[in-house]
Amino acid sequence: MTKAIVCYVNAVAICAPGLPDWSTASTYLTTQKHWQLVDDAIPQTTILSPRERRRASHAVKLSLHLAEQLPQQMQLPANQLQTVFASAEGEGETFDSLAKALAQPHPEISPTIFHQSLHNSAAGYWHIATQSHQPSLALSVGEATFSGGLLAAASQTLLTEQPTLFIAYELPMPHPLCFKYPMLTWFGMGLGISPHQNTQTLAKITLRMIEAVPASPLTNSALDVLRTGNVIARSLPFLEQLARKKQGKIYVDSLPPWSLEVTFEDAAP
Amino acid sequence: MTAIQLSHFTAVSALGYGIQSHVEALLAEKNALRQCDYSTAQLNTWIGRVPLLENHQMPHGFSDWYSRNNVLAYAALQQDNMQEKILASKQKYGEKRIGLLLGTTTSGFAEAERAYQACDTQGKLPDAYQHNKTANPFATVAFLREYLGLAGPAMTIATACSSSAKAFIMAHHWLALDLCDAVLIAGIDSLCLNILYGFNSLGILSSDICRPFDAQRAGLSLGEAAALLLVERPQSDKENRIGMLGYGESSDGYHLSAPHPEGKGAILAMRQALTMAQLLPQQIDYINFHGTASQQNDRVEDHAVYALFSDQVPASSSKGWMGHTLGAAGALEVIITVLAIQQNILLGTLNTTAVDPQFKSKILLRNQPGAIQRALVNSFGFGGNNCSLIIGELGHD
Repeated sequence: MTKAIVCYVNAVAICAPGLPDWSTASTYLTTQKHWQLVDDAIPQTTILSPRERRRASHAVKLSLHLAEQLPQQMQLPANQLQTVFASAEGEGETFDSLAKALAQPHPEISPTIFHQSLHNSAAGYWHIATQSHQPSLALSVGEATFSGGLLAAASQTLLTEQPTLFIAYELPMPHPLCFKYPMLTWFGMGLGISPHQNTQTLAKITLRMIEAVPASPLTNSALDVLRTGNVIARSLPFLEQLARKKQGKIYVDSLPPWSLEVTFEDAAP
Repeated sequence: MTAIQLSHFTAVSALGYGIQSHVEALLAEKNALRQCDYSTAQLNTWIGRVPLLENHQMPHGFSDWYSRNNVLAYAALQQDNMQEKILASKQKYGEKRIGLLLGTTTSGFAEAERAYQACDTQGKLPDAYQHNKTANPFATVAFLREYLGLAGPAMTIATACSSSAKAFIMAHHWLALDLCDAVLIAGIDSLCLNILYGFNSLGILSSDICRPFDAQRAGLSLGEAAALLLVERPQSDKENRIGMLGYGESSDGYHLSAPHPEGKGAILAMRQALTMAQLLPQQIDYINFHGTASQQNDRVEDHAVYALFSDQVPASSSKGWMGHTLGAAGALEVIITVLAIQQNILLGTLNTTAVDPQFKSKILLRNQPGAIQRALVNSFGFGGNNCSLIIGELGHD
């Protein structure tokens, strides 16, 4: 048992095949509506210039599409938010194209591809687009990237007493890397986390690391294939709790031998 | 803020294996850079390559974890009783109470390069390629956690060249929230074709040896290193305690691979570090620059340091010794700064013969004796990610 970390969720975003926005996702999370994998395209971000948009990787597009929905919900300017970007693999697509280019006898690498290959390229693009001087973190905790990232974002919110954007995303690897790191499909989610409650607050949450217990199930079992098919989709039970405005505890898988316990409390002012 | 104590540390870099080889090279003002002879790279540049790293093997039972990054991590554990100190800390606190933070940029990317070169005619990667154990961003954390039997929180921070500097901030958070009692901070990056050709594509590799802050500087020399530090809350039973007294972090919000022209983000990070440590600029005795020897970094960093410290604080870049070790640089340069504190020496800036006449901060070219109580260490990364740490003697409580 460790110290409790308390903060407020003041904004939420999600994007995955068949779950293009929070309102659609809420329907699936609060009913038994049947979800099936569809061939949705990764949405475009509006925050980059047309030139940058053309060059941006899918990971950058997805993470910025999520991030740009949150400041307005939080009623805060984007450039006042520190950020935590979490992804197990990050830029798999760019990783693959670099590895292919470097396998040539006389490698030629484009500078754009090289700096896009960095784990923090999405964070970098975000802070440039929003002209934000706030700190930013880019991290990976492997299979436990969602819980590790959420813990980092909440810790930072609590200790700095500043609001934080938390963005988590994972995209399938291209061929041939996909055989080494199989994944059902792409998935991304974001939270606006604050040390303070406001009129937008969706929930008060308390995080605690506890000895491992089984992860909380989803009420809508049709989403289970998605939950187990992408490491960031482990966030779905957390998101269900938000969508149902439910109180009580859920458990998220963390690095062994830990689980992340999240206690949801009503945020009525 | 509550300081964290740097209880034990070691490093492997081009300067050699362990602290003694680093102290000797620092005192002798002897660099370890050489013309690029890494693997199949055909580039006219200089590198700081760890000597004979290719002769090292993974520990028994871990051969499928082999990557240049992981073998470098393992080599570092064998220096200065680092592994024993970690195991003693496990004994003291329990394995669930030891956190693990890695700062890296490219993890074991060289393994992916080898695997892609060995693809079969259908483009399939070799069965032996263990992506999750060798090349993905979390691979070296997974190895260290497994090998050392650590069971506390663990994370890879990958904010490019500020990665392992940021790890100190996360360690501070974890200790403040009582998520653990000690944290192993590892800054590890290893040479690979990716970074050599990648930095070459940006046009910022020098064909000459790197000369930070020199009027004739022409870019970076890349290096590799593993820098390991065991940190914990201040322990009153230890003497000559050194710790992290403050930190600052910011984003430039300007360009992915070029610094803000006026160093706005850098100034914010340094100022925040001073505020957090409750120190005035004149209470800093030495500044370890990021100092990559690129045209832009050095110009902007000089501008930013001068804006806060005027020409009053001796400052230097360590990159001339072992090159720019990317994600490892923050942790390695913290260790170098601790060695400077312990040796009572203000380090110079190797390979540099004449400071750029436009620069105004107090840049040291040669080592000179000098007591350091508190030092500032700068790490600035791609994506405009800035981190400044204040390292110094812990007060007696």
